Amino acid sequence: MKGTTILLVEDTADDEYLVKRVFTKINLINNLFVVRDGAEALDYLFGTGAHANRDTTQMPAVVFLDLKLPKISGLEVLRRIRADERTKLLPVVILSSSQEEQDLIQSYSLGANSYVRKPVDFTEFTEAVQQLGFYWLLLNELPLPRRRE
Amino acid sequence: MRSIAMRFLLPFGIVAILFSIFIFRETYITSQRHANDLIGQQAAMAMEFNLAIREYVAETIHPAIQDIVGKKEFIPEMMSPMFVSRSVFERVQKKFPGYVVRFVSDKPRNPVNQATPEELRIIDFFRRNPQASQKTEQIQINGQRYVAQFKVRRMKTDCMRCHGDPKDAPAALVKQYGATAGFYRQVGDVAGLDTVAIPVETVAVAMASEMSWKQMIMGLWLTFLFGLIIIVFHLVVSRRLQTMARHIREIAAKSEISRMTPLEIQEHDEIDVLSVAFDKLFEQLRAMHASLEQRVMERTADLARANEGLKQEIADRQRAEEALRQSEEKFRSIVESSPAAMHFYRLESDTRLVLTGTNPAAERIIGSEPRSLIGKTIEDVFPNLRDTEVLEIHRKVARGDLGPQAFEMPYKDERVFGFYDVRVFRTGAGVIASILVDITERKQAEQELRAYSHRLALATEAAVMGVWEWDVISNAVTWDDRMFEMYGLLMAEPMTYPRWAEMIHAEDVTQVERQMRRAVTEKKAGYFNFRIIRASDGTVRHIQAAASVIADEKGQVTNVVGVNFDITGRKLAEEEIRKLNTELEQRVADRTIQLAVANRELESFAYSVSHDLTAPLRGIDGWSLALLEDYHDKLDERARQHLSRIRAETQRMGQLIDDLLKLSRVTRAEMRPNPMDLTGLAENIALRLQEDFPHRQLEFVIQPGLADEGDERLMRIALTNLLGNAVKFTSKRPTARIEFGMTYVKDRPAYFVRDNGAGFDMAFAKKLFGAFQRIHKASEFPGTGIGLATVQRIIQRHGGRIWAEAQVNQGATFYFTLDEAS
Repeated sequence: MKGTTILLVEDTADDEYLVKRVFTKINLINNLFVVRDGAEALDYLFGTGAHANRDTTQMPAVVFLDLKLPKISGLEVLRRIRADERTKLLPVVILSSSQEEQDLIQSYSLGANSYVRKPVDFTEFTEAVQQLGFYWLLLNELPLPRRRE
Repeated sequence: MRSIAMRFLLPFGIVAILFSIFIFRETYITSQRHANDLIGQQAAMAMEFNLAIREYVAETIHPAIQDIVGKKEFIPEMMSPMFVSRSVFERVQKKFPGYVVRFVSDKPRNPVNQATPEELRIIDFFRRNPQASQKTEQIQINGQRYVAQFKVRRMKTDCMRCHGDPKDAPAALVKQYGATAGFYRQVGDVAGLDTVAIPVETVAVAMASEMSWKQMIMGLWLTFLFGLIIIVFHLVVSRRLQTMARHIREIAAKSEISRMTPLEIQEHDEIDVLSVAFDKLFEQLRAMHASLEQRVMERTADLARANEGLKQEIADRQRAEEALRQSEEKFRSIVESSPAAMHFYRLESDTRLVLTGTNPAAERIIGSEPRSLIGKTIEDVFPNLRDTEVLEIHRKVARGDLGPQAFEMPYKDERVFGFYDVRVFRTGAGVIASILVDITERKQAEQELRAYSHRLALATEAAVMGVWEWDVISNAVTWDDRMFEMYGLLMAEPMTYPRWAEMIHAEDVTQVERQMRRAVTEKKAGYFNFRIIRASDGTVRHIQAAASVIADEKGQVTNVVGVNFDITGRKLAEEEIRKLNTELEQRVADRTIQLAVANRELESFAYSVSHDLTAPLRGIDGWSLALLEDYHDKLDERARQHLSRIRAETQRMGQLIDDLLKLSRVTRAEMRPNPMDLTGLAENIALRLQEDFPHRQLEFVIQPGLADEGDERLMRIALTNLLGNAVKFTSKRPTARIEFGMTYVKDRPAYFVRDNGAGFDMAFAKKLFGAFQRIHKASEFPGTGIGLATVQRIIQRHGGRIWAEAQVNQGATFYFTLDEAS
């Protein structure tokens, strides 16, 4: 069954708040789950640490991943997601301020599904987040997740 | 061969036979006609007899008898004309059995007189033709041909007694023949025919027998005549002619002939005369033949003699010609193969010398097609010799005023340049040969030798070069003045090999002596460096030496000669340079490390900026927007405007950061040079600009076929900036005209982007390419002022240069080059 959650990995409180604001506006706030660093993101996905009790058969529909994160960097998180059998098909959208070519190349090399730049103009940012939310929650189709034995 | 007799007799015979046949035929036809006439006359006569008998019976006998016997009686033997005439002719027929004389009727009283079908036809003819009384024609009776005469008998009044009503007829008649046959006839009706027919054959046979006899006589006579003619002809003409012919044939086979005519022939007639005349002619011919033979023999002897002489003459001439040919061949091959250019001239007038021939070597001097010059004057052949002494010499030699001449001359025109050894000599009256030997190389060698000697002298002086010679056998060494100076010795001092060796630096002496020995044993020249201790001041000097060996005819080395350079100064300079180089390399390495560190710092700085600097800006913008949205009602218009300003400035800041990062990326990016299609690139950018500004009237003029080497990614950024600027600064024009092309600036190719926009004051031209430098107000033409800095950085990274030319409101032109070094 398709996940209904979007996992946002974002350490900047401002950005987190603003994303939440957009999701509230478009009535998808209940579908948004926010973690604030890379380690927590991995705990959430694999049901470890603080998220040991989470039902890991329920994977989010998509992960919005910032690159610059405390503890474990965004790219490392992406690498581990792709390395694990449970999450290797999980859609990951990189959401970053950077427009550096090396970031783009590395992200795509590690298997990012999309790379979206966070523009300074917040109106544009709002539009981008809205479209991403709609797209990944409502439009995108995924293969059935493989259950663990 | 056909004999005359044959030829004469054959046509004669044919004509005679044809004529005889004609005569026979005519005779036969005439006799036949006569026979027919005769038969006709006989028939007519028989008819007349018949009629006469009948008339007589009818007119005389019948009435007389009637009177005697009474009217009732009828005695046919006496009273019937028919009966009587028949009886008469029956008697006649006994003598002439074939003759027919009778009376017939279609309805006879006596059946004996019944008409045959032939006769019925004739009766019918007379019935139809009442006026006809007689008819003659040939008829067939029992298969025999007859000439028949028919006479018609018609009923008359006095006939009616016996042929009318039977009551009127004599009773005896009725009694004998019955009352029907021969009665009831009409007057004028055809009673019957009197027929006389005489067989044709009887006459014809008689005539034919007579004719055949006559023909036989005639045939015999003709045969006799022919035979006679043949015999006479043979005796008189043929035989004699044959005899003569045989005789002539016989004598023709013989070699010795006395007579032509056979002895038996005397002069009797024309043939004999002809033979005798032949004989005389033959006599004459024989005499002529004999004299002719004599003359032929004489002529043959003459001819043989003449022939012999002629053969001798021909042989002589052939030998002479062969000798001449060989000589000419030899001469020609010498001329043809001679490396010397040969020209042959003929003096046509006092001053006019005309080229008559050349040899292949001349091609090298007067061009590849010397034949085209044949017939031209010497001035045409050597245009640059016009009015020179050289031509005058040629002419004088040709006139015989001068003997053979030899001189050297330089010659130069558009075809050739060189020095020539020229020989001019007369080969006949007004004919000269001019031989040019190319001595350019020798002259040049001479010149070079002179120059070389001169340079050598200058060089030895300037280079402080000393010359030495070592006599290997005596061990004596000869030095020039400079050697003594170099070694710090007095010139008076005698020099020897050991003395020289003493002065060499202790560390180098072994090596130097080994080299010298090797030069002698291996006969090999060489270069080697060593140090000496200068005698005058004891300082160490660096010497570069060159040695070369001189051997005697046995190959034994007798002398070694060479030079010495004092290269101490150079050595020191080299040392200095080496030291400086090492330092420089160290400094470059240090700077490279520093640069790498700086680059890495810049990289991480950019990375940090990229990630961290924009996030707060987005926060400011986001919060401002949140404020505007969430507290819209509580904020007055002014506050909302201020917030909008904050947002605008924030976004501008974001744009600035983006542009700065782009600039830094351009600096840091790795160059990937490849062939680029600049025209295609510019057209692509123009298309996008047009799409970005759909309401602008943009006219792009892009030169086709522009291509160069470079990093296409960077060039795209540069051209996007330049063309984008052009679009931006033409925004006040109704139609923007933007050109991209290549032109020449001070003879060097340069690309250019030209617009008809706002332009700028050239006083600010220097500030154009600095980052954040802006000439126009942002309110007029928005921008961050980093675009042109980026462009300049890209052009510089390509090794090129960028500059601009403009005037206020007259548009601007940006020129740039790529890779100035090439």
